[in-house]
Amino acid sequence: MDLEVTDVTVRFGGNTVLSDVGLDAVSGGITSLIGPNGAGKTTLFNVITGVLKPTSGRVMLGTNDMTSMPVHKRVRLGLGRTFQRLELFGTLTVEENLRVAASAIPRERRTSEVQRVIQQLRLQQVSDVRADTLSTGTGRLVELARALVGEPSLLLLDEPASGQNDSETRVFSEVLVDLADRGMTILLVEHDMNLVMAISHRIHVLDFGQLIASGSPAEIRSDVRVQAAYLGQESLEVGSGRRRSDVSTGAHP
Amino acid sequence: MREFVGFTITGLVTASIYAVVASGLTLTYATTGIFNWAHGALAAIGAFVYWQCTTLWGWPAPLAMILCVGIIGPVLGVTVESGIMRRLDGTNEITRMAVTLALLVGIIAGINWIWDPQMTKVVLPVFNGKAIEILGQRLPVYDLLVMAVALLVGIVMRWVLYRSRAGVQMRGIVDDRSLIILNGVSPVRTAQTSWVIGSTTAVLAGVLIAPKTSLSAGSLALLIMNAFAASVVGRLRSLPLTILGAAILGLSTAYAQGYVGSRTDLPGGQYLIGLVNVVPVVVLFIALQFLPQERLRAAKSQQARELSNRPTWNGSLWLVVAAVVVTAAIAPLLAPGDLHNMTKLWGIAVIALSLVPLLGWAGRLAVCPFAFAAVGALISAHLAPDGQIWGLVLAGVGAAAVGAILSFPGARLSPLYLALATAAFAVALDNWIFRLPPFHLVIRIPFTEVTLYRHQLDIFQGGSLAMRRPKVFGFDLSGDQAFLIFASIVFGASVLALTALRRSDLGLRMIALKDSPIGYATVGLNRQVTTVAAFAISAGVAGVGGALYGAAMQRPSPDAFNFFSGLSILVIVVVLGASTLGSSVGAGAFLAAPVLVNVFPSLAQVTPTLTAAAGVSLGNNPNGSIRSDIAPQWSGVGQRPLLLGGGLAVLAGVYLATLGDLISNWFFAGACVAFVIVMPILGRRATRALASPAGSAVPERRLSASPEQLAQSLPLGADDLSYLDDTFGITPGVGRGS
Repeated sequence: MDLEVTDVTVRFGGNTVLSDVGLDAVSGGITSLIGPNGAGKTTLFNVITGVLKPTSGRVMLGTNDMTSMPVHKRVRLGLGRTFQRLELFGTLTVEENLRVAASAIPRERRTSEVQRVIQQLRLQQVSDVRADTLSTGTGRLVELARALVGEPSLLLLDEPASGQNDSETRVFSEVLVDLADRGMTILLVEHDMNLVMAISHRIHVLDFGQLIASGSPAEIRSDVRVQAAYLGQESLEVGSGRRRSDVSTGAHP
Repeated sequence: MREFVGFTITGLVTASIYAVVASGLTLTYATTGIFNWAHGALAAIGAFVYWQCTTLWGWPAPLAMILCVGIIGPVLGVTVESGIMRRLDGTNEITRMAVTLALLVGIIAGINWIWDPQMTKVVLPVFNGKAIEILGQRLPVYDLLVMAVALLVGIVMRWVLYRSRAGVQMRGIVDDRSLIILNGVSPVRTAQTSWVIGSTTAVLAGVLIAPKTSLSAGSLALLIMNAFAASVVGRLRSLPLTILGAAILGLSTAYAQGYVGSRTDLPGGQYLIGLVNVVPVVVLFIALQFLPQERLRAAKSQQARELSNRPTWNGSLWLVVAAVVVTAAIAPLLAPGDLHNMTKLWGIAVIALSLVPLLGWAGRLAVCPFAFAAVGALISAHLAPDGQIWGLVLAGVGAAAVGAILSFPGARLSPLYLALATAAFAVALDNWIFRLPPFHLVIRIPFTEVTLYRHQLDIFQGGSLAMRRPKVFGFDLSGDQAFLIFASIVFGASVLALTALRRSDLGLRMIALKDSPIGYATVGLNRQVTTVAAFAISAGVAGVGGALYGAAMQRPSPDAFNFFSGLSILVIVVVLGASTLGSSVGAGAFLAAPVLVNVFPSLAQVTPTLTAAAGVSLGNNPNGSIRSDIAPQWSGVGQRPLLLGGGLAVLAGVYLATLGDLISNWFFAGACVAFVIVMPILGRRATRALASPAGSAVPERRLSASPEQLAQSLPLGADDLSYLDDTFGITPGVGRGS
C-alpha cells in the first residue's frame, strides 16, 4: 500500500520541528528520507508510526486515514518499524522477540511465520540468544525481522545501517531490495549515502523541518538546494568522485 | 457566609502546608527523576525532632526550628542522596520507587523505635492563643505564619529552579545527563542539592504541621502523602500548578469537613463521614484522569541492570515440593502459639507472589497488595461464609475484576501514576470503605419500584470479619496444622500457575512491555490491554492469598490489611528479586514466622527495620538477592546430587530425632541453620576440587557468575575483580580509577 503524508506540521511549544511536510512512498519501491541531523526525519517517522501526534496534517496508508489511530492499530493495518536506537526486548531471546511480534497475527500462523522470518534473515544461529547480548549489527537484523513478522505492507527503517559493518550492510541492502521487489513499501532514513543512492527509487530531503527536494537519486545528487543544505558544497567537491562512482553501481533506475 | 469564610481560611492554611510538601516533592522528582515516597516520612522526622526539642527539652521554638530546618533537613538530604539514591543509576523506575518505599517503611519503624508510639505527643504552636480578626473570623497568628512561610517557600523554590545556576543544572541533568556532565557540571553535587532542598522542605512541613495534629509516624506520613495529589495536579514538573493543586486540596478538604463531615443529619451522612478523610484521594483520582497518555519514548542509551530469566518447570516443581514437604515436616514441631502465627505464612506468600507478574514481569507497580488481598478475604467471607473451597476461586476472580477496573483508567499512564492510583485505592479502602456502617445493597429496575436484589451488607462486620477455614473433600482444615499444609498446597498451585503464565505468550508479552514499551506498541500490541491483564492477574492471586490470610486469622480486622503492612511485603519481594517466584517464600517466612518475635520480643520494630535496611540497599543489587547472592552460592550444591542428598539425609535424621523427642526443637533449628551455611561452602569446595588438576595445590579460580550476569549487576566483588586483573594481566589500581 502507498504511504501519503500531507501537510504535516509538528510544534513543540514555540519550536516548529516539521512545517507542512508532504511526501509519499509507493509500494514496490524504496523511498529514502535524508537530511542533516535535527532535520526532523525521526520526528516524521514518529508521526507516521503514531508515537507522536502532529499539530496538523494527515497520514494515509492506502485508503486508510491513520492520522488519529493509536500505534498498535496502525501496525495491524500493515505498518512495521525499526528504530534509530535498538528497541529490542532485551531480556528475551531472538525467537521470543519474534514470538511477541507474532502475537498480533492469527494463532495458527504464528509458529510458521516466526520460522519463516528467522530463515529469511538467516538468524538461525542466534535464535536462542538473548537479544541484549547481540552485536548492534545483528540486533538491527533482529529488529528488522521483528518488524517483518506478519508481512507488513509499509516498512519504516530508521538508520538501519548504523552500527553495521560492510558485509552486514550488504546483506541488509539485499534483503531490502528483495522486500521491495515483492511489493512492500519501504521508507528509509539513513545517513549512509552509498546505501541510500544505491537502493533508493526516490529520495525526499528534509532540512530544518521542511521538505526541500524530492526526486530520483540522480536528481537529488544534482539538486543545488540539497548540495547547499545537506551535503555541503565544499565537501561535495572534495568527495564527489568517490561518492558518485560508488553510487552508480547497483543503483536502481 | 461567616461559616464559608471560616472554612476557607482553614482550607488555605492546610493548603499552605500541602504546598510546601508538594513543592519539595515536585522539585526532587523534576530534578532527579526519583519519586520520593518517603517524603512524608522525612516530614515525620522533622515533626518528632521538633516535639522532642520544644516539649521534652523545653527549647525555644525558633531554636528548635533552626535545628530542624537548618541542620536536620539538609543532613537528611545529603545522607539519603549519598547513602542510597546515588547507587540507583541504571535501575528501572520500579526499583527506584521500591527503594523510597523501603525508606518510608524504615523511617516509620525507626521513629516508632525511638519514640514510644503509645505516648501522646502534643506540640503547642508558636504565638499560641494569639489571633487577629479577618472578615469577622479570628485567625490564629500561627496560621498566618504558616501561610507566609508557604508563600516564601514557593517564591524561593521557583527562583532556585528557573533563575539560579543550580536550578538550570538540576533541570539539565534530567533532560540530558551526559550532555550536562560534558559541560562540566557535577551530577553528584546537583543531585545532592535537589535532595537537600527536597528533604528540607519536607522537614519544614513536618514542623509546621506538628501543632495541628497528634503525632503518629504512620498517620503523619499518610497525611503528608495526601499532598501527592497536589504534585499530580502539577504533573510533577510545574510549581505553579502544584501550588494550585495544594489550594484545591486544602479547600476541598476543609469544605468537605465543614459541610459534610460533621453533618450526620444529611441523607447518608454516616456513610460520608469517612469520605471526608479520603478527599485528597478523590482529588488524586480526578487529577490522574486529566493526565495525558504516557508518551512513548525511545530507550535511554543507559543499559538497564535488571535481569529477568524465565522460570523452569523443574525449578518451580522443586520450590513447590520443598514448600509442602518442609511445611508438613515443621508443623508438628511447633508450639501451638507459634503454629497459629505460622498459619499466615502461605497466605502472605501468595500475596507476595501476586507482585511477581506485575512488578517483575510487566514492570508495573501496585503499592496495594493488601488492598487486593482484603477484597479477596471479604468476598470469601461474605460469599462462602461456611468456608466453602470455591470461596478461594471467587476471591481470586472478584479481586481480579477489581484489579482490572482499578487499572483500566490508569493503564494509559506511566508506572508512577499507576502506582499512585493504587496507593489512593488502598488508602480509600483503609480509611473509608472498610469502616462503613452496615448498609442495604439494593438492585432495583430504574424508574420502577421493582427490587431485584436486597441484602444488608456489613463490610467488615463491625471491625472483625468472621472467616471459616475450608473443608476439602471431607477433610476438615480448621486445625492449624492441617490448614498450614493446605495453604502450602495452594501456594504451590499458584506458583505452578504463574510458571505456566510466564512461559506463555502472555508472559512473553509482559516481559516485552517492560523491556521496551515503544517496541511493544510498534509490533501491533496494545499496552493498555496487557497492563490491565497484568493487574487483573496480580490482583486475582492477591485475592486468593487474602482469602487464605484471612482464614488463617479467622477474625481479621481492617488493620490486618493496612497500607503500610502491604509495603513491607512489596519491599521484601523486590529485595529478594521481583521477577523470581521464590521471593514470595521469603516474604511469607520473614513476616509470619515467629522466630524474630521470639528472639527479640521487645523489639517489635525489628522486622520492618530489617526489611527497610535491605530495601534501601537495592541500588547495589537491583536483581534481588536470590538471583545475585543465594543462587550462585547454591549452584555448586545443585550440581552435586550426592552432596545435596547427603546433607538432606543428615537433616532428615536430625528431624526424626526431634520428632521422637530425642533432641530439642532448638537443636533441629540449629541443624537447619548449619545446613544453610555449610552446604554452599561444601558445594564450592567440591567444585574447586573437581576442577583442579590432580595433585595441584592451587584450586582453579573462576568468576562467581557468568560474565553476562556480572556485567548486569555491577559493581563487581573483590574476588571477581582480582580474577579479572590476573586473567588480563592488569595491575590492581591502574587503569580503573581506584
